[in-house]
This record gives sequence, C-alpha cells and structure tokens, in this order.
Amino acid sequence: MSTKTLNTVQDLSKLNSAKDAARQCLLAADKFLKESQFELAKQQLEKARELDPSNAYIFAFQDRITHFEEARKKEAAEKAAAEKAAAPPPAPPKQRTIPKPAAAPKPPPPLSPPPKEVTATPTAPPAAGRAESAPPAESDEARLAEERKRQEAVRILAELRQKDAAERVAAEMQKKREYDAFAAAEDQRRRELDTRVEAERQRQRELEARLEADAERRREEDNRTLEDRRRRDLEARAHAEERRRRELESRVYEEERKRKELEDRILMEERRVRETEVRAAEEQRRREYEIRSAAEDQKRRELEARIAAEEQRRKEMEARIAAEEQRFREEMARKEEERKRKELEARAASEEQLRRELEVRVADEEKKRKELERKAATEELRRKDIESRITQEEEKRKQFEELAAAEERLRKQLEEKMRDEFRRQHEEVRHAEESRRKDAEARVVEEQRKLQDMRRQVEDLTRALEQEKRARDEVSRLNLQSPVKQLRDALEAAWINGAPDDATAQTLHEQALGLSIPPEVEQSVIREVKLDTYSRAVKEVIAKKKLLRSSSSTLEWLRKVYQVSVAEYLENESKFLLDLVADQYKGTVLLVSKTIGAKEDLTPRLKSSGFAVVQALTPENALEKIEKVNPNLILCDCDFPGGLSGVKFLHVLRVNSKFNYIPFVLIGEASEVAQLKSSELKPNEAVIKFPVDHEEMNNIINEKLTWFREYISSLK
Amino acid sequence: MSKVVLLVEDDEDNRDLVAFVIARSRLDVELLVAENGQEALDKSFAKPPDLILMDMQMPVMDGWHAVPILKADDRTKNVPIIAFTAQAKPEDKQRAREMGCIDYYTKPMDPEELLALIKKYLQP
Repeated sequence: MSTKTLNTVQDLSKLNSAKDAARQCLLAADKFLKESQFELAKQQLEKARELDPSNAYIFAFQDRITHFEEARKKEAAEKAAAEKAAAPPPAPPKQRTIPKPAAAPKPPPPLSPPPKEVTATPTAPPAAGRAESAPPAESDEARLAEERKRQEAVRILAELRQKDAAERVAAEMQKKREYDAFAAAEDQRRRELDTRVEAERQRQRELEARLEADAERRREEDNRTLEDRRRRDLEARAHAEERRRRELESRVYEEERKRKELEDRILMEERRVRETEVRAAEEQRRREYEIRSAAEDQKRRELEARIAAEEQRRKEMEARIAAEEQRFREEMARKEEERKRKELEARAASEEQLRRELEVRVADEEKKRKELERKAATEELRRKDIESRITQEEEKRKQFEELAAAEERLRKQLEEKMRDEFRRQHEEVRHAEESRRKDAEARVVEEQRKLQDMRRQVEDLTRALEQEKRARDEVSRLNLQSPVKQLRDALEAAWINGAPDDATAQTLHEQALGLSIPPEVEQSVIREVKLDTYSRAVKEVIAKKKLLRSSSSTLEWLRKVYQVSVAEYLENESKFLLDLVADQYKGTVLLVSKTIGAKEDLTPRLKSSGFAVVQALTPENALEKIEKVNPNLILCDCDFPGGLSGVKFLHVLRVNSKFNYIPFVLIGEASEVAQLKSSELKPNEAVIKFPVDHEEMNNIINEKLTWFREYISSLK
Repeated sequence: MSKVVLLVEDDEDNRDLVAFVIARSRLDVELLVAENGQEALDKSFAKPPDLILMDMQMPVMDGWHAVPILKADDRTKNVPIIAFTAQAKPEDKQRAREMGCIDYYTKPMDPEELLALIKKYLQP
C-alpha cells in the first residue's frame, strides 16, 4: 500500500478506512490484553498489522503483550517454586519460597496492571510458606504423600523452570535477533548516513581541492604572468644588450677594418716606394726604349709617308694609264667607225652607180625588147634573128653579171686588203700600247714590290716592338700569375657557397703564405673572388625571383652569407643591379642622334624594351664613346649638319675591324633609305625610314641582335 | 654525422632554390630529393630521414595522401614533417597539423625563415 501510488480520492479514502479499522483492532487488542487474553490480543494485533503496517502502536502493543506474557510466566514460575518450597523435606537450595502446588493450576491473575501483580506475587508465597511450614507433625503416610507431592511439584517446577528458561532464552534470542535486525537496520542506516556523510565530505574535500587547485592555478598563472613579464624584460634587456654588443662588434669590426686599411695603406705605401725605385729604373729603361721607339716610329712614319707617296704616285699612274687607255680605245673606236662609215658610203656610191647603169641598161634593153617585141609582133619572121639577138643580149647580160661578180670579188679583195692593213696598223698600235702598258705595269709591280717590302719592314718592326713589350709583360706576369691562379682556384672552391669558416680561411691564408703571395695581393684576390661568387649567387637567385617572397631580403641574406660589406656592395652596386635586371636586360644601344631621338622618344621606348641606352649627339662623339660603352647595337640618325653624316659614320665603322661587326641601324629620309637599300648592306646593317615605325624598328633590332648573338657564338 | 633532409617537391625550380639555400646555410645537412609522394615513401622507408619538407600539391601522389602513410608506419612515424605549400588557407594548416605535420610553411620562400624552420626541427 505504501508503495502504491495514491493517484485517486478513492485510494485515499480506502487508506483512511484501513487506518480506522487498524485502530479498532488495536483497541480490541488492548481490551484483550487487560483481560490477559494474550492470544486474542495477538490476533487483533495481527489484524491491525495487516490493515495498517505503518501504525507505530502495533510495535508498542507487541512489546506490551510480550512483557505481560513474560510477567505472567514469571509469576506462574514463582508460584510453582513457592509450592515446591512449601513441601516438608529437604529445604530448597534457593532462598526463594516455593508456592503451593495447589496454586500452580490456578489461572494467572489478570495482568492489568501487571507491575502491581508482579510485585504483589512474591509477598504471597512467603506467607503461604510460612503457613505451610507452620503446621504440626503429621502422620508418615501423609508425610510420604506430601513428600511425593513435593517431589512432583519440584519436578514440575524444574520442568517449568526449564521451560521458562528455554522460553526466556528463545525470547531473549528473539529480542536479540530483533535487536540485531534493528541494530543491523540502524547500522545500515548509519552506514548509509556515514556513506552519505562521507560522500558529502568527499564532495566537500573535492570542492576544497578544486578551490585549492583553482587558487593554485591562479597563483601559478600570476607567477607565470610575472615570470613572462620578467622573461620578456630579460629578453628585451638581452636584445638590447645583444644590439649593443653587435653595435660594439660592428664598431670594433669597423675599427679593425680601418686599422687593416691603414696597415694596408702603409704596406701599399712601402710597396709603392719600393716600386717607385724599381719604376724609376724601369722608367729610365722605358724612356730609352721610347726614344728608340720614337726613332723607329719616325722611321716607320717616313717609310709610311714614302709608301703613301709611292702609293699616290702609283694610283696617279694607274689613273693616267687608265685615262690613256680609255682615250686610245675611244680614238680607235672613233677611227674604226669613221672608216666603216666611209667604206659603206663608197660601197653605197659604187653600188648606186652600178645600179643606175644597170637600170639604164635594163631600160635600154627593155626599150629594145619592146621594140623587138613590137617588131616581132609586126615582123614575126624576124623573130629568130631577134631571138638570136636576145640570146646575144643575154650572153652580154651574163657577161655583165660576170663582170659584176668579178667587180664584187675585186671589191671584196680590196676590203680584205684594207682590213688586213687596218689590222696590221692596229696590231702595231696595240703592240706599242701593250709594250707601254707592260712597262707601266712593270713599274707598278716594281713600286708595289717596294711598297710590300716597306710594309713588311714596318710590320716586322711593329711585331718586334710588340714581342718585346709582350715579353716584358710576360716576365712581370709570370712572377705572380701561377701562384695567384692556384690561390684563386682554392678561394673559388671555398667561397662557392658563401664565406668559408675560420679554419678554412686560415688554411687558405697559410696556402697563400706558402705560395709567397704578398698579403695585399692575397686580400685583393679574396675580395675579387668574394664579389665574383656573390655576383654569381645573386644572378642565380634572381633568376628564381618569382619563387621568392622578397628579393631584397634574399639579397640581404646573401650579402651576409658572402660577408659583403655595405661599402663593398655600394661600390659594386651598378654591377649587381645589372644582374638584378639581367632577365630583362637585352643589351646596350648607342643612340647617335641629335633630333630624331628626341622627336620619336626613342630613349624611353628603348629603355622600356629592356635596353640600356647611351646617347651621343654626333658621330664624332659616338666614336669617342663606342669603345667605353661597347654597345650591342648602334642606332644612328642620317643627318648631322657640319660633320660626319650617318652614312659616312657607317663607312668609318665598316673599315674598322673592331667595330665592323656591331649591328648598325640607320634612320633616314625615304630618299636616303632608297639609295642605301640599293647599295649592298652587310648582314649586321639595316636601314629604317623616318618617321620611325616603332614596331618595324623593334623587329629589325631584334633581328640584328639575333644575328649578333649567333655571330658571337660562332666565334666562340 | 650529417642530418638528412628529404625535400618532396615536383617543381624543379623550387627544388633548386631549396638546395641553393641549404648549400649556403652552413648546416651539416644532406639533402635528398623526391619528385612526388610515392617516391618520398620509397626513400623514407628505405632510409628514414631526420626531417621531411613535403609539398602538398603534387602529381602521382600528393602530400595529403603521403603524410598519413608516413605517420602510420613505425619506421617514419617519428620523423617531423613540414608541410610545404602555396596554399595559405587556415583550414589547410589545421588539416596538415591534424594529419601529423609538425609545422606548415607557405610559399613563396624566404631563405632565412626556411633555414630557421629547418634548424628548429633538426635540433638534436
């Protein structure tokens, strides 16, 4: 019922009625208890327990019933003992009086109120005992009967005692069990409570631990923050110290560098003094040599002047011979023409004469023939005579033809004779001219031979001078070249991936000392190798600049790797910068122009196309700059008033073997361009007409540069 | 004894640049090169390197596939891998770290940064 959930009003009223019924049962039980009807009381109690087990009075009633039952049993036992004690022989071992046996079968008095009954009961047996022991002596039978009764009562009493003891033990055991159960329940409850308390304590401990941990964490956090702050302060201080140290180091390094520079300068000065002495002797020798060279040069110049004069004379002679030949050829042609004309005229006149004569004759013959025909027509009979006359006439004509043929033969013979005569005369003239020409040629050959001899002498002298100079240079160079080359190779191997470590640098220094290389030369070679390897590394890394986050920081890193100082970098910046733009740099253009370049904005256009542009205002200025600039292409204007023209500048470059392969693009007016295009242009030359078509110009420049590259490659 | 760094990168210019930088770093490092993830697995299993620089975008087998295999194998699970890629998205970084990459480096390169990273993970 208690576990049942009371969801409805019916359930509640049922519960109340059950409680009322249980209460009635308990009242009935109380009534039976007062009447000492324990069994009935127990039955009522059981009913009440069934109806309302939660009623606390049930346990109280049960205790009461048990108590009264025990009191009743105790009382009965005491009564039995009192009866036993009332028997005559031997006195009971206990002092307790034994009730009369007759009292034993009596039903126990009502137990309400039991304590009174219990306290009253012990007083009765002594009185009875006293009443039993008081009687006077009886007869033996009666004594025996009494004795038997007494023994019977003792036995009954003993049984009752045993039973009572057993019941008491059982009750005790029951109580004990109940107590144990109660105690167990209590223990259980206590344990549960303990567990709860323990759990609470545990929870409290955990909370405390948590709070403690939080506090600890906060303390740690604070400590850490403090520590961090201290660490940051220390780091900042360390950084500052480091920075200060670096500054000091850089200052020390700078001072060291300055000291080294001073030492170097002192060494250089000493070396310069030594060299000055050597140079003085060298200078003396050089002066003597120069005097000799000057004399030789003088001689050479004289020879050259003579050669030039001879050459001039030869050229004049050749020109005269050529003019003479030309004149002679013209004269001969004119004479021949005149002669042929006259012959033709004479032949034409004679032919005309003959033709006229023949015509006259033919006309006569015709007249005669007509007369004959007329006569034949009139005089048929005289036909044969006429025919014979005609035959005669025919024969005469044949004779005349033969005469004409003979005349023709004669004329041909005459012509042949005249031709032979002319040929003979011409041959004679030709022979004479030939002999004159041969004489002139012989003289020219002689002059040329002499000129060649002179040239050869000049060349021999120049060669000897050059050989002497080379030999002198070679002697000074060989003194250092081989060891320096060895050192340079070793340095290049060590510096390829940046500055070598101290041990390697020391080894290289020892190697330089072993090769007897002066320290200033060693320093110079180291510097040269350093800058060279750095430059190569810069070029290599800049080729991949698209893969780099920042070109400037990469170059800065490389500068550190190669230990290139800022001063050294600035000194060679132009070279490195050129490397920086190497992927865009197409070459250097020498722009020779005063007006067109500015008009057409050629410089910015060329620069934007990747060219470095050097401008010269005139061809003379360009000739001064060309060797310094070493251009990949020359872009030249045509018109330079009062000086060399563009075309003449081209001719000057063509005859100079140093420059005649450099691509040359000329910009000119349409007429000049047409004239130049008609002349033969070399593969490195091109012409663009003004105004400039920039696309065309770019194409031509690229074409010429391609040719230039191929040409250079072919040389390699 | 020199440390071994395995560079897994399909682009030749990038490989050359890393080699250029490492050569000038004064580090005692032997640089091995693999052109894709498969080659990287072969080389790593044959001789586990001390550090792997792994490009994540490659043909044949990319880094996203190769890294889990390397991390699952007993021979290479402890080798630090630096993801080496042009992708700078935070989720890629997170993904690379979840896969087991110890760090993440975004191209284009900065020589000093790259060397600092390599030095950091090559410390004994």
